[in-house]
Amino acid sequence: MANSEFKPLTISISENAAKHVKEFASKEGKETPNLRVGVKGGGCSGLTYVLDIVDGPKENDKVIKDQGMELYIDKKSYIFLAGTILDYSGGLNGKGFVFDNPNAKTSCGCGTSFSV
Amino acid sequence: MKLSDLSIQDQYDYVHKNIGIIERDDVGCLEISGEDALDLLNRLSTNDLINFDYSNGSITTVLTTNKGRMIDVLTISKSFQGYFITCSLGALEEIIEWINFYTIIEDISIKNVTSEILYITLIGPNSNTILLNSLSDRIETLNIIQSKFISHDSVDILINIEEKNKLFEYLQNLKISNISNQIFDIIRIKEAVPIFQKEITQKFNPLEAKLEKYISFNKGCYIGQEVIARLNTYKKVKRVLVNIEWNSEIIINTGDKIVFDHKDVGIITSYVYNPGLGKYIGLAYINKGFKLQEFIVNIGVEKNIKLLITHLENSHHQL
Repeated sequence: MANSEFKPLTISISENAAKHVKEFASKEGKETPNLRVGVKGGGCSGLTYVLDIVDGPKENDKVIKDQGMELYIDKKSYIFLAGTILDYSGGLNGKGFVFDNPNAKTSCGCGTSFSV
Repeated sequence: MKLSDLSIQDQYDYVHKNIGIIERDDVGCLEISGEDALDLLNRLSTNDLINFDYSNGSITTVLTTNKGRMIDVLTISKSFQGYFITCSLGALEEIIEWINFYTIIEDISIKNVTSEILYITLIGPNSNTILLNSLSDRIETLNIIQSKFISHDSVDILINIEEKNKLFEYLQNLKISNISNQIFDIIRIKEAVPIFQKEITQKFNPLEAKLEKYISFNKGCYIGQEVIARLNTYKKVKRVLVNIEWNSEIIINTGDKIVFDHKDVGIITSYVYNPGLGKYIGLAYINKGFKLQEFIVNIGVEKNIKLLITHLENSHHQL
């Protein structure tokens, strides 16, 4: 039997996305670039991604450390986002922050809403 | 003699000169509260609920599926705790389930308050002004809901059920009394106002039901938006709600297909006998492309029926 390293599903952020979060945090006068990631109901595909620069976690949040920053996610949102990579698509045709979410079956044209 | 004891024709004539009331037992009511309540509802339905000034009354929106089909038409107004959602009584449980399903991290509470309220439609000249001005002073919990009728003076009101006796005593003093539900249906069908389980079902979208006035084409994402926006932009709506008339000897049922030249061209959704015309009037979804005219069709089991599609006074559509 081949040995395979088990990697638990988590949420991660790309180096490029982390760089842009730090830039936004700095513009808002936040010392630490901590990011709340979540899902809210509604939107053209049924669920909508939430991104917010925050000071710290709420009670019962999952805390993920990646790229020199902390990501906070509530347990309900984690069900929809496990395995997601938060990336950043820049340039003239860029979409900004992009969620590469393996749980999403469909997403809307602008990428902010998805369904599972 | 009670007003409701008069013939339908007499009652219909009455509300063209006087005010009559209908207690609406087909209406359900929810109360939502919480910081994210209105925001969530805004992402689930077609109209812009966020930028509306609720001190001006109520706003109507359509709850749609991800395919842009209608679940129900909701009217939102301010309550003491948050917001009232008035909807079709038959859709109430489904609406609660729908909102709960899409509540992820939102701060929202939802409560069924149907048994705590009274919902009434007032129909008749100046019902929406003169009567309301005097009622506002007398009924503490008065909530004014915009009527869905355009051509007939009317207004809907919602009050706490504890003030029912006070309201009816006052209305009795003004000699304003109940009229038959059939009058409501005649007016509703004449004005092509769709209702739950007849015109409002998950087989149809709000553009087909001519509910564009309840859709914001400028707001952000909501469930079903992409489908509705595409249908509207590329004019891909395939059928439209129209008024129809036919001879009263013919028995037709809701759900009967309209067949012309061996092809299904429409479906009957509502009908009522109009004594003023001496015939049945109804509503149907008809395939776009049909001209406004009389034509001979088969409907259900009935053959060779002369059907008239009448033009709507406030229609923005061309068939």
